[in-house]
Amino acid sequence: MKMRIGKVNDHDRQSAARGVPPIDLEVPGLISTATFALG
Amino acid sequence: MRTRVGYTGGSTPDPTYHRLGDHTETVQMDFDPERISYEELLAVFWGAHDPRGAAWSTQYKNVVFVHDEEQRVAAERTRERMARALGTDVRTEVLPAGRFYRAEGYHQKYRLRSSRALAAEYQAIYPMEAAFVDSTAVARVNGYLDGYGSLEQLESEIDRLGLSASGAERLLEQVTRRRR
Repeated sequence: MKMRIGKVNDHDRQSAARGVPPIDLEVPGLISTATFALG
Repeated sequence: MRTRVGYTGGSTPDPTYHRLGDHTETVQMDFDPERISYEELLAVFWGAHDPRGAAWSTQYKNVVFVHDEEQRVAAERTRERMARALGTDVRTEVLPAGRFYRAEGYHQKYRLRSSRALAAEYQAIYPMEAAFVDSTAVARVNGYLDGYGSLEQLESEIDRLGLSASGAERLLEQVTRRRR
């Protein structure tokens, strides 16, 4: 289950202007999801 | 890395903490496989529990919920390896991932929420609950506060976590105190 997400766009630039952490603006090329339960 | 906690694995519609039905409490993460592999996540998972133990309940049990065939193969392979290494049955389950229900807000980023000043800084940046929970900076700070990661790692990235100068100082102080 992988999806490609876009590059930095205007929305991200606006986010940077309102103080969004730089680390949140690092756009990965590919995202996978993993789910675990630890009882 | 984005993280969230929630409920999955059951058939009860719209579960809540107090009406969980047949679901299990889980943590879900979105990750960049070019930076960390699924196998590395599995290694952390297997290292974080005793897979020989019987489940306490449906709510609290050990499960890898796999999202595709590739994950299923990797999870089963590591499960078999674990059983061989322990020389006994492994009770941790490998199950297909079904619908995931996010847990209530007060369960998300639990450790960070108890540090109110730091939580307030991120809630000001992300007034919407889902954006706050999905922030990778918030996930990292929550982890550092709970004792994960090294002080050196934190120092190397603290300027990119979006905190004010006083917030960064507070975080460093709390993490340093915890590691003493």
